[in-house]
Amino acid sequence: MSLHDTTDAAIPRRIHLTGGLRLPGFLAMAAVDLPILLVFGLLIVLPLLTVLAQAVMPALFDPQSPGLAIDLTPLGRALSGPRVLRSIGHSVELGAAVAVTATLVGGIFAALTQRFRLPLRALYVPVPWLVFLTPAYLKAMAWVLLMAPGGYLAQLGILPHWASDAFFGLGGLVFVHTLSLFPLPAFILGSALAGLGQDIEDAARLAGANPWRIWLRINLPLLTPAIALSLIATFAEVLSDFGLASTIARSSGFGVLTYGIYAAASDYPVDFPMAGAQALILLTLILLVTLTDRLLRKQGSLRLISGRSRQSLPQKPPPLARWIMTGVVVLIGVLAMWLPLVVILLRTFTATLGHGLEPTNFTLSNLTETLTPGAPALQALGRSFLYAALTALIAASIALILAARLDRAGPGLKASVTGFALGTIAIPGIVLGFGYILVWNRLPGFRDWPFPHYGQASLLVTGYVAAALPYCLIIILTAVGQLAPSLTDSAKLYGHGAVARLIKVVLPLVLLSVITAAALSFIRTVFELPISQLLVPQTGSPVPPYVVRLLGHDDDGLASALALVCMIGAGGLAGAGWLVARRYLNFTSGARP
Amino acid sequence: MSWALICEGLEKRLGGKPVLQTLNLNVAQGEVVSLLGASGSGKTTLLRAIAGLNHPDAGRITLNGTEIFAPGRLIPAEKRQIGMVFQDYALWPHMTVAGNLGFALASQRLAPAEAQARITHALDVTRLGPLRDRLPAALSGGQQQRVAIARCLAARPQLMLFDEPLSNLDAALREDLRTEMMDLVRQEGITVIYVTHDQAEAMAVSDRIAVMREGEIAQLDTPETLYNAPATPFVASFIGGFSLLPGQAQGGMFLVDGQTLTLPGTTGPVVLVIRPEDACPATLHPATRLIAKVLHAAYQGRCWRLTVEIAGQILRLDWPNTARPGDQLEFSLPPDRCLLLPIPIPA
Amino acid sequence: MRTSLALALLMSTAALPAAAADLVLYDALDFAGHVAEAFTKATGVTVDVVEPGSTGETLGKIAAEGNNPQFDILWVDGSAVFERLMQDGAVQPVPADVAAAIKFNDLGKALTPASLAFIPTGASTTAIEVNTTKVAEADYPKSWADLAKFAGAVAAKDPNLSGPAYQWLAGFFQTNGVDAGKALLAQVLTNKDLSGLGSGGKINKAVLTGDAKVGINQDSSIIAKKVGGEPVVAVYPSEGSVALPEGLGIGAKSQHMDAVAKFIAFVTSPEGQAAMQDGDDTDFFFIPVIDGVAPKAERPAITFVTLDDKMASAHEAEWKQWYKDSFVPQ
Repeated sequence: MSLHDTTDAAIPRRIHLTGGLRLPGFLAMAAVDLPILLVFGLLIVLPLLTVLAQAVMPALFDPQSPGLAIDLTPLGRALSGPRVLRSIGHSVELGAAVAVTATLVGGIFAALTQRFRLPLRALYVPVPWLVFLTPAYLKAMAWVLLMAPGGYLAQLGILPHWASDAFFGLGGLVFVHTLSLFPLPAFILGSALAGLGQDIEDAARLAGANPWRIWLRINLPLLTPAIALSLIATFAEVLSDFGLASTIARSSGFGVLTYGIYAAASDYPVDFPMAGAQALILLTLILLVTLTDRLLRKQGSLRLISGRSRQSLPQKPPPLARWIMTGVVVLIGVLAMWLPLVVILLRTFTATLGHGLEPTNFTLSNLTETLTPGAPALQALGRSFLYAALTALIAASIALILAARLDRAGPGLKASVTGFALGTIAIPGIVLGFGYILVWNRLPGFRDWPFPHYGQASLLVTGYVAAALPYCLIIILTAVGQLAPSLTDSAKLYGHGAVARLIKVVLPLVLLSVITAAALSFIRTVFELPISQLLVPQTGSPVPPYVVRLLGHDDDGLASALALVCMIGAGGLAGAGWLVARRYLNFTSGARP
Repeated sequence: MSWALICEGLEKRLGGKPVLQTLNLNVAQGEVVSLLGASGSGKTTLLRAIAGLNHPDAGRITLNGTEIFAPGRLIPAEKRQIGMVFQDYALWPHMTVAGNLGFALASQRLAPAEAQARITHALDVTRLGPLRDRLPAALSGGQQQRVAIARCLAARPQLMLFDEPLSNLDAALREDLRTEMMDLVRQEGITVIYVTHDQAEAMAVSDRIAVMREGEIAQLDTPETLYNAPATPFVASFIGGFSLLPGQAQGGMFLVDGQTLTLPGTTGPVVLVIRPEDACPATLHPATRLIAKVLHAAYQGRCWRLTVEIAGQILRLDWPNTARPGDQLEFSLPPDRCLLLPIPIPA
Repeated sequence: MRTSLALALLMSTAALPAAAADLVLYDALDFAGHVAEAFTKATGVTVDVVEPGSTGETLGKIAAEGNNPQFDILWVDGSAVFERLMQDGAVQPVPADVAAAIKFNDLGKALTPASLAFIPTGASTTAIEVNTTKVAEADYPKSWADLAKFAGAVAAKDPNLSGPAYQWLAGFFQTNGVDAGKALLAQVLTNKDLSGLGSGGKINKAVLTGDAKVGINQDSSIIAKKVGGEPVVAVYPSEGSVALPEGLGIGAKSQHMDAVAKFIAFVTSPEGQAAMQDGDDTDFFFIPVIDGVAPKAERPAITFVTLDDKMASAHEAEWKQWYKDSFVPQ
């Protein structure tokens, strides 16, 4: 077989499909990837559209007289009513404030933990991951237990009344959101920092610059794209947050857009057009911010000239600085994770909140009630874990396939899909959930599919997959992007088809990232709330709606117990799996240039 | 003689392994000394220790009479006035060429006019004048490296360190840039320590070469001495093209594979250093003749490079004609060029 | 080929359990799961119990299902809501023979609507919750009008978020008149932190911690707390309380009318009613509407007011919006 023959066989079959014509790259890619794009469209775009469309076509799903007439009154109503305008203002205010504070906290955290050798690592190194994975409503529950007028801090006499009042307002919201969201900037800035390499700092040191000047004139300017990304990502997360919006924000009278969507849609008669209008406004805001950022940074990111740039090694700072730095990161760790965890533990093992920390109040009953075989709580746990495991598997696989394809695509397609994935993260789960009900229960052509079928677990898992897919895609795409193209090219030349290449070459090398993505999806799915509520299967509820119901009945003892068991179970399973994978399945040495 | 740089007794361990072992090195003013060795030999560690980017566990470093590293005394890297050219250039990507040079000068608090003059001069000698407002990403590899050099020159350092500066460049570019670099350095009379794993490069640029192995200096000599009289088989193997033929020395003879050469030397197991260009026709030096089996022949323009084999050992010879693989080749070596080195017993 | 791989993965979700039960029940009541178990044990008919969350969330889900409802039985607090659901084609009237077979007591007969959009299985009413440690017995409010004495310290639910709260509001306008009622509330609910709470649980908490001295809450919720040992008492206002039925309605597209009839028969039987009282959460303390069934906790004689459902559903959007604008913080 001559080289010519081999190369011909290696040219993707897309060209032969079109009868020997060479299509422009994008179209050719689309022809083959249509099924994959369809999956994306079905999972996210269509449900989203059904909700958003009602903002301008309010009669779309009217139970009595459906129609396609375009009518902008819901949008008009939304934008002219004081309530919605105030929600918009609140959302933007909160989003902007938290974007800045979370980026600051996350950046400081990443810089200190990466660049310096500090003691007591166990207290803060796992924190960003664990905080990232626990849902906002659990953190809100913990902080309310702490800061409420009848809560633990008040009982211990530590909390002055003004502090409690200040907490249930913008200040407290910013505080809890920052602690909850700082991991995202910490990851983004951490990896950007690692990518800076040691040499440019060494060169600056030899040029006589002291550490402050190096940070100010070299590191920070080079981190600008990552800082901008952190700000935007955090802004989007705050805007689309529902867990805190429906707990602390609600009780503080600080209405935000996501809560407005929920309120419009959680009564009978339901105001879907209003819900759709607010969802439209929310997504437009996020889009605006993203576009503004793109415009401001038109020169594109500065490609760091590396190839074999040295990784920077953590240094040991002088003693006083060391203790201050350690203090800062430990404080962040304690506030973000340890304190809420302790609170949930306390509440799990006490019978009532009113009697606080009195010795007689401690009991195991919450825990035993949760763990009794046959108890609804335990059944909910089993269901959640099963659905989450399926979701993790499916989402990671689809993301891998997509990522492998995209990695070879032109920069335009890659950027737009990455942007789309990022944007999808911003879609509130509640909007997606409603979209799913509308598509799979109302739209002719979809409602009779055997699976996913409305009312069954299959649709719930599909919804979970849609929510998890963007995160998986971003993680795996990054890993695939770091592989040298020659690895798969050489396999191609040996005649291996696309699937074989994927399974035998790409997958083993990015296996750790795939497993990371799967572990992440698993944990997030176990705690996912709005989609769980809206698509609850007829066979029984997963954990989150159950916990929220317990909270609604003031059963925060049981809720805490269930949350605790869930966190330990999910975290333990996923963490163990990931650690095993990292130890035994990490084939990457040598694959990265 | 005033030494520009004195390193005494430097030691460093990393993770239990010794990386520098009782290392001593003196460098004269205006001298170019290369540190030549494989990866793991400690050359980069030594370079970075001199720069102040890492700290040895013991020893002393003196720069132009001032102790920069000693027990109880440490001058940080920022204050040592040492310049370094990195393998991947380490240009600050968000600053223009002029900006890079300007930042390098910033800590010296020069008057603006003086700073500008230095920058312009450095850019002139490296022929980068027209590129002064470009960003590094817009420059080729060779241009970027020249900017790195200009950046160092502008700062007028006491000592310049080069960390494998040419290894990221295309082979075609290497020689030209190397010549340019060394011309500049010589012109300005700067003391240089040059790290490389390429012995040809080291030979071309240095006044002296320190061949390093496992944290120690195996031999510190001029290139000619290294070429003509390598001290140990290890150093000999490092010089490109040399072949080593192990055998026995006994009573003024060298024995290998049943063949005998008349060569005075010590007794015991030795290694014969054979340089490719030493191979002569068999009749020329009948007392030092060898017969080998030809394995490959490669044309090199000037001559043929033959790979031959004696007693399982591969030798490389330059030969005026070609030879067929499988043939026997008889050749001789000039006795005054033959070097017998005792094989060191492993410690 | 890789796409069929993806599809195969999606198909693995077919391994998930599909609905195999005979009846699908949507509910927002505490005892529904328990009763469904007892029902299955007694009759062998299996029930899938779907509880998306509060009444609001359940109704939201039904609203999204629109004219393609997926439930056989809906069991939530409220009466006006069923009328609306029937108008929208989500719910069908209970068959007359099934309804006739139920042995209602007087209250039950009064609460059963002519349209048979639902049948009541129990009832509760709205009462005034008083913290006995913070208010002396002589000062207890005895009527809605007495609330004026506690202006600023009254906790109330937002009817936009709570079915029982809307029933109360509509009934309150019925007993006290719309304009007079609006004026009274404006006078009383001056503390916005307390006037727009989302659930009965939050009212309990507000009253128990002392943030509010009194609260307007579902009486079964108050009684459940009292029975649990908390220092609260339920006071029934003299103007009269609107009875809030726990309504059981039938899905418009239900295919299992036989099983539905069996379920209704079970729930209204002594056995079913006993199952409905077998627990200590709020809904277990309902007021019985079936003859011969005793309530779980004793109550004084209550003046019941029957809600004019038509008027309540007609003004629903308007009154809910008014409450939201007046008393719910932004």
